[in-house]
Amino acid sequence: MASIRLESITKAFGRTQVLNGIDLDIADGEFLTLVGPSGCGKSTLLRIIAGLEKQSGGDVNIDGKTVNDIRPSRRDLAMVFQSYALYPHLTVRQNLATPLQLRDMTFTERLPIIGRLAPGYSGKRAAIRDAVKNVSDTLQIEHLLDRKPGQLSGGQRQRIALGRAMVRDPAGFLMDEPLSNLDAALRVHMRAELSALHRSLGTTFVYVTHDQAEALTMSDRMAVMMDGEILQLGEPDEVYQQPMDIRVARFVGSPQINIVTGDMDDDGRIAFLGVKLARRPSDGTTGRISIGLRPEHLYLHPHTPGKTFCGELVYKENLGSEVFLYIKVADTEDNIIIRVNPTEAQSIALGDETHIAHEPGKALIFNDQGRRITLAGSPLGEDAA
Amino acid sequence: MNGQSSLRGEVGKHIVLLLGASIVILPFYLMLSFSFKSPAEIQSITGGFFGAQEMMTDQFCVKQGRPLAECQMLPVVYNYTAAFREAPLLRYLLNGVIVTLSIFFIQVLVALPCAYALAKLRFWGRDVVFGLVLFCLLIPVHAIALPLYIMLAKVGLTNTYAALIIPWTISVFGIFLMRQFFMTVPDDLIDAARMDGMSEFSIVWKVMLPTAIPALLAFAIFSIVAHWNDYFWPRIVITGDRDLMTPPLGLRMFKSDLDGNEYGPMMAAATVIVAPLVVAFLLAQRRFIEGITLSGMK
Repeated sequence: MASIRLESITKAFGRTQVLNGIDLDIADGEFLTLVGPSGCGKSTLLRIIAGLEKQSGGDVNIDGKTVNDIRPSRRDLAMVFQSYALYPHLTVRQNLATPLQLRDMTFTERLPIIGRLAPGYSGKRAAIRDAVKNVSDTLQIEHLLDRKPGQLSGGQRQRIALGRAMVRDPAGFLMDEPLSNLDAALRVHMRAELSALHRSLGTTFVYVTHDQAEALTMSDRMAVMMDGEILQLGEPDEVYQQPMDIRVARFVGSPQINIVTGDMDDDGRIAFLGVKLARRPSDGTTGRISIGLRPEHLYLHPHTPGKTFCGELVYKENLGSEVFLYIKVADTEDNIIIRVNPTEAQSIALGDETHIAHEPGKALIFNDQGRRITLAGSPLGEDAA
Repeated sequence: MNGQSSLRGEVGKHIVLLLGASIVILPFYLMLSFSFKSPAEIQSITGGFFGAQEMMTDQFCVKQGRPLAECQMLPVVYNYTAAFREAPLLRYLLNGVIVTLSIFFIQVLVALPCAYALAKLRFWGRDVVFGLVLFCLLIPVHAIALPLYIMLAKVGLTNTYAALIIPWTISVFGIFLMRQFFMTVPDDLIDAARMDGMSEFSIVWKVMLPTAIPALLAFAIFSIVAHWNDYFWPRIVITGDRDLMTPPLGLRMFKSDLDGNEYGPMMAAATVIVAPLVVAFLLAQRRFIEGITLSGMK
């Protein structure tokens, strides 16, 4: 059990600045996800928490103690790696026992034959055996204990890696994209299993991923990182529905949010693709703006000037329960993606001209710096111009 | 048509390969054959591979005044007993084992931590150090033999095992080979070991060493073959003491001791000296090929 607190962590590799002053409070028992595209510094941040990498500036606190100069093994954190990093020459049982042997047994006790003579040897051996057994029961890996990692499938290795982290009963788990090497079905299954594990252990989890779906499904809170900064930190729902930065909006959500450019007239009214919004910026922003529209907030609608925009259907992506329509709209770079139900999708064919409206109050407006602009007025109903 | 031309190609390939193989094997074949035959057969080049194995008389035995019946023996027995009688072959073999194994052991002891540091630790000047390692690969042993000899002579180590071993304990090739192999070991594995609480030295011996077994075997073969067969260096530092001679050196001494035409015992001695390497190769053949592929690929 541990809370982790990061204070203005910076990191530079040579002249490349990787982290620019990260502040982050991770509560005891929380499942916090660091999510971002590759190269955003999330793995580096995790390695700094672990102590595998030394920060260029700032402090790492674990349970109120500054651990900047404490070795990784003394921080009482366990890490699960993307490549599993099991010792290839040891059996699963030995892999699981190694962290305990290193922590609990003295140097002499670890020696092959002399160790047996040390007082307390057999007691420690028994304790380690029990711990390994407990963990293998929990993860249902007893039948694999005598195999070597090379004889296991990816999913099994992943479990062993998890077991090796759990066996020490650490104060916190650090996970570096642990599911990335699994196939899609297993990944979805393991997501649920990791969430369950987190609930049953009640320990702090810091989880790094580039997959926004993992972040949305598992975390208590997620921190979206980009270019060495945390752009937004919050509960998954909040980050998804109220992104404060256009980069966050783009990154979170699949398929991606639709971004169209819009203008604002002198009166402060926002218009895009011939659609006018009722709400106005509350802070008097003017100039170029971008409007973000999630696929599920767009729908097919009969042609209505001022309320709908039109385009040509170029692709249907059928997922069974729902269908995503890709619509080429003049004046936009990317196709507009809208989500419809399968019956609706049957009513139109490729090449058809379609008219689209958006759900009132759901449009997300960003200024030319990409920051979110709040709109004045009640969101519902009013901007259905 | 196509099948036939490919068949012809195959035949051609095999002819070339067989020719190459026979050039390599022929001296070896002669050595083995001579070690079986009587002096007369060797002189007249008769008797095929094994010789007729007719009873022959051991002149040395007769000179010692033993009864003639006792001195009658098969040529093959004569050759091999003479080899062991005329020179302390077992002693040479033992020396060879002591020297090559010590060299290899210390080479590993030095090369593994060096290679680990060069491959996985970040420190100032690492690339320069690695550049120096590569540079040292270019220095021929013969060029530094004289200074080495003088240094060893000054500290009074000539005619000792130390003289045979010390100059070879730091193998630049070993460092280079292991470094290249360690580069392929994922960083995560090392980080996992650090999280588990291993010190850097434990990581070298408990994590890197076991994963590097294939590369180490390849290196073992190169190192052991090179130092078992080395004639140049033992010839320089072992000047008097016959008890310290390594097999190739012993073989040379052996020749000067016997009459010029005693090829049989000499070839028997050569066979005995080569045998351990051949046996070791046959046992580790697959590993050997793996090792060469490994060092060639990376």
